[in-house]
Order: sequence, then structure tokens, then C-alpha cells
Amino acid sequence: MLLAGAAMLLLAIMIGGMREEYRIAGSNGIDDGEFVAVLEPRRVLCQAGQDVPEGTGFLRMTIGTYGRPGPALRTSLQAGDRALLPVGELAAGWTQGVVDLPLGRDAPQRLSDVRVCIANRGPHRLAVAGRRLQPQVAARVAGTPERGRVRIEYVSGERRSAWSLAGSMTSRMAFGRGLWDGAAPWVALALVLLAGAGSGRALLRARRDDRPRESR
Amino acid sequence: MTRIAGVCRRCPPPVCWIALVALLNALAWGILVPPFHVPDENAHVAYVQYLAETGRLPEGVADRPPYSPEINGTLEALRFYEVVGRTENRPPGTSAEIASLDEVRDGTRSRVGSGDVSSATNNPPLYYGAQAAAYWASPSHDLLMRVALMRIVSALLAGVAALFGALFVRELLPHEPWAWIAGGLAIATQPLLGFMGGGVNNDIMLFAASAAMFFALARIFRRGLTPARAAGVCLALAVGVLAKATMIAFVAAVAFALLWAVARGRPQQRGAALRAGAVGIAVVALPALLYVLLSATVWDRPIWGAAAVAAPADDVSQAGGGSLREQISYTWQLYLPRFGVFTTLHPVANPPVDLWFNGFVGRFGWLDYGFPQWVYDVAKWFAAVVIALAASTLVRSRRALRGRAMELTAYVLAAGGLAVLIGAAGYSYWINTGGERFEQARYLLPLLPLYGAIVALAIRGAGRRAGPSLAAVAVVVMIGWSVYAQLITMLRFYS
Repeated sequence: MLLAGAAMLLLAIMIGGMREEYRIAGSNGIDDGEFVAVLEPRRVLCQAGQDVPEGTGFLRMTIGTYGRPGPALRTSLQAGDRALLPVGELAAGWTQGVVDLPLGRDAPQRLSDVRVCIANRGPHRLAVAGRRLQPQVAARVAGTPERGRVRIEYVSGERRSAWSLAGSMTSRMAFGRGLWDGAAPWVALALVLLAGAGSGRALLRARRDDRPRESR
Repeated sequence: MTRIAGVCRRCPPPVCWIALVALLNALAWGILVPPFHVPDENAHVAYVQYLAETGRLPEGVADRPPYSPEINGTLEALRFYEVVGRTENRPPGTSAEIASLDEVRDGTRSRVGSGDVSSATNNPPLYYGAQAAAYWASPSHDLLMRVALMRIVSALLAGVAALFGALFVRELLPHEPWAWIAGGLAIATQPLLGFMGGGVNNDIMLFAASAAMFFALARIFRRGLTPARAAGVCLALAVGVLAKATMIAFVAAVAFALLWAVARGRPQQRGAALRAGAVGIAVVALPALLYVLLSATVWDRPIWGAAAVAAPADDVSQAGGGSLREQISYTWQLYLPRFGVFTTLHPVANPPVDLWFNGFVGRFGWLDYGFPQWVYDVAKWFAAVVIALAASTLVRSRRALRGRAMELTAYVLAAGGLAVLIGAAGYSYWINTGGERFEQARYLLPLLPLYGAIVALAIRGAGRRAGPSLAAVAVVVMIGWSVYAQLITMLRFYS
């Protein structure tokens, strides 16, 4: 029965790990408690100092349209005047709320300290959610600081299963682990397997008569 | 040494296996969870570092930042404050991201800070003294190496907690090996125990001490009072108190057990029982007095600083607002259904379920991730079956239970003492911080031996024929629960 249970557990892990989904690879750590920037028609909102994780294909933001259908938006990542990726486009007609803005291409590696820009191509203004902060670090529309920084979540460009991430996960686990540097995933796996085997061993000992000792 | 070897030889093999399972599990957790992502781990590591580097205990410093430059630099390099509480963010994990960590690991930053270690400052020193030994035993001065070694010490304490927890359950049901072994394994594989045993946090020594105390109580009630048993229960109490002030919640249960044991002895045995009780009191009082004396004279720090958060109502009133009635209401609502007469004082809809039950099933990190909702929903059904089976066992054994009324009273006193202490501490914190939450499910883990006992009673409730099968199913479910918790931890931090 223990062996059957172990086999079922393995099967559940195998099947569960195959489920594919768009994964959030990170965020800029800003809360989105209020709307802090207004993006007028034909204007561009830019926010500097963003670290975009490898594999990012969408920027997830909370955008209000004042009840109208969302206008066409263009998204770009820049370092200085240089575009780091092709411009991404979101067609008009989306609904206000949490919106995934596509990049022109998935980020091929982590992009540090870049400027994220969103261009409003429609005839109506938009409001973008974030946190109220001082003008020096605030998002800017046409060069003028808004009331704060906007929240950005970085969403992977393709649906990934846990199994497809196993390689990068084991690689990421190996860093910064002190005693376990380089070996952490394999040591952890061995320990988990040994703990499972130990549990079975403990239970099987119950077959022997385990009489209590009398007090002395 | 020979005596220790003798004690080890007397340990029933299944109990040793159970302790080993808890140790391996906690070691795995210690590797899976990135440094500092066990609650308050930065503060506890800072306490150990300050003690190890200076030989002094930390003290609160109002106008200087907490922790050493080395710890603060490491936290920054690990992007700790960007990751904690933000499940969408991951710690650095590629060679490019890790470059700043390598700069911190060169050992040039000071290891001595202001002496303020934030939330851990006023804790008693026993756990940190043990960890300081690991700190100095490290083959390198690298902080992350030292944290890894400290986590091994915590894992060993998780093993000790499971060992005594299993011995306690065995003491209750010695003739039901399937039941008590499954109960012991329930403790050893409990994900929250593994998670806490995988980090640097003085809670884990408290769990080990409370498990030892429950075992010692069971021995006294079932085998009588001897000087060794009195010393054992009081030693567990003393170790726990010197690890974390929360252990004072169990003083009433231990005092009740000793008084009962002395009183029930035959007149000719009463002298021996009194001597045993005196030995016990000496065992707990001497280290406590020494700690009080040193705190007041040498260290110049609050005696029960960490317990100060559990300030009584008069202290609370000074902070503005608060009353005994409200304190009672607050504590009631933590554990029991709310009546119409109570004003709602907790932000969660149903604290017994949302806070304690779901937390016990598993909330990890700095309470920033957990299972998908369906796991908590399924867990409720499992819990209902386990409790129903355990209750049926108790009902069927009611005649035998009558003879154990005093023993059960001691366990109820222990659980009630902890519940009241958490409620008092939580209320005080709630008032003083203007509504912030204090309670976490890990605060109930000192009662893990009782959880193991409930699982064991449920297995026994299935009867002689079905018991072994149910035990096997229970162990598979528990391992699955633990492994799933570890998988979501990997996805949280590394995917």
C-alpha cells in the first residue's frame, strides 16, 4: 500500500507539473493602490529604472479607461535613445482593469535599468495605477512627472509548465546557498527521498511487537 | 557519554526513524527556502552574529539601524526586501544577478552592528548561544555558509521535537504501534515544522522543549513521580523558557502535574515525592534566577523583554484604548465562533479557520505564499474525518479515560495556557500598533504532540483490522502534503 501510495504521489507530481500557464516573472515592487498617472491622447508615459526579467513577453498593468473601450497602445523598452526590443502593440477594444501589454519580442535576457514607455494611440485619456512617490522617481508623461510610479508586472511570453522550468529552477537554486552552493537542488532532492523512505521504514517497524517497557 | 549512548539504545527504533524523518525534512526545507525567508530570520541571524562576535546580548538602540553592515549588505544583494511579501519576485539566481552578492561575500563589511536586532532583541539567549557555536564552527567567514550551518542546528532541533513528540504519543498508546507511529510521523512530516526547522528562529527550540515537556508529563502521570522525571519535566520547562518566553504558558500545566503527583502518593511515599518535586523546582528555578540576575546586573536588559508584548490589560490601557472585556472578546474570537455580543476585532472573517487551520495546513515564507485554495478545502474534510475518528475512540474508551482525567486536565491546561498567552500578546500588539496582526499558526506548534496524539487516536479508531491500512494511507497523505509544500516553495522562489 505504501508503494502504491508513493507511485500515486509521483504520478500526481508528474501530471501537476505538466500544467502550462503564463507565469509572472517579477514586478517592479510598486503597489497599485491608486491611479497615479494620467496618459492623455497621443502622449507617451515613460518610467525609468526598470529591471525586466528574462523571458518577459508582456507588461501587466492596471489601467483605467474612464469606462470607454481601451485605445491602441504601443509598448517599448529603451536604454537611452536606443530601443532594446521591437515595439509591441495592443489593438484597441480592450476592457479597463488588469491589462497585459505585449512587447515586440520576449526579452532574451534580463534587461537592467531600462525605461518602459507606453504610447496612447487613441483619442481618449487613460489612468494608470501605482503608488504616490516623489517627482524624481515618478513616471513621466511628455517629460513631466506624474504623481507617482506605476506598477508593472512582468509576464512570461509563453505558457510554461513547471517541468519546462525545472532546468532553470535547479540552476537558480544553486546560487547563494552557503554550504550548499552548487549542489543545493540535488541534496534537497536526496533528503526528500530519504525522508519518504524513512517514513515507510518507520511505519513498517509497527509490524514488530513493540511492547512498552515497565517503569523502573 | 556512556549514559547518552545507553539512552539512545533504549530509544525504540521507530521513534529514531521518526526523528530522522523530521531531521531530513527540515534539512531539505533549509535548502529549499532561500536565506532569510523564514519569518524574522534576519533578526535571529543578527542576534547570533552579535552574540558570537561580541559575547554580549543585543540591546534596543532607537536611533541606529538594526543589524550589522554585513547582514544589511547581504540582504540588499539578495534583493530581500524586493522579494519578501512579493510573490511575483524571485531572489537573484543567475551569475549576472549574483555579482553583487559576491562583492558582499568578500568579508570586508563589519560583522558588528549597533546591537539592535529588531524583533529578536529581547529574546532569551539559549537558542542563540547554541547557534553561536555553529557560527564559530563554520569553516569560512561567509555569512551564507554560517546561515546554512545554523539551519542545520535548527533541523536537529526539529528532529528532537519529533523524537519527543513520538515518544509522547507512544506513551499514550503503547500497545497500538500502527497508531503511535503514524501519529509520530504526522509530527515529523508536518510542513510548518519542517519549514521552521529549516530556518534560523528560536521557535524551533521552543517546539523541541514543549515536546519534551509533554513526554515528561505523560511519564509522570503514567509511571509516577521520581526525582529524574520531575527534573526532566522541569528541565524541559527551563530550556523552553530560556529559548522563548512563550514557554511560560506551560507553567500552570507542569505545576498542576507536580502537585497532583505529590498529593496522590501514599503517605509513606510522600516524602520521596516531595523531594522529587523540590528537585524539579530547583531545576527550573536555578537557571531562571541566573538569567534574571544576569539580565538585571550584567546585561542591563528587560528580564522578559519578549514577553512584554504579552502585556496585561493595565499596560494596554496606558497605550490608549483597550479593556479587559475587549481583551477577553479578542481572545475568544481568535479561537471560537463569534457571538452577536462581540464587536468584530479581527480582519479575517473566521480566525479559527482562516488564521489557525489554514495556517497550520501551510502558509510559508513571511506568510507570503501558501497552497491553492482547493488544498485548504480538501484539508477540512481530512481534518473532519480525523477528528471524528479520534472522538469515537475517546467515546469508546471513556471508562479508561475517567482514570486519566487529571492527565487530560494537564494537557488542557497546557493548550489553554498557550491559547490565552497568544491572545494576550496579540491583543497587546493590536492595541499598541493600532491594529496590526500578531498571530501566526506557528505559535501553536508547541502543541504538536497533541496533534500527533489526535492522529494516533484516529488510526486507533479505525479498529485493529483497518488500522494498519489507514495508517499507511495517512502516512502517504502526510508525505504528499509535505512534498507539495516543498514544491510550491520551489515555484515561489525559483520558477
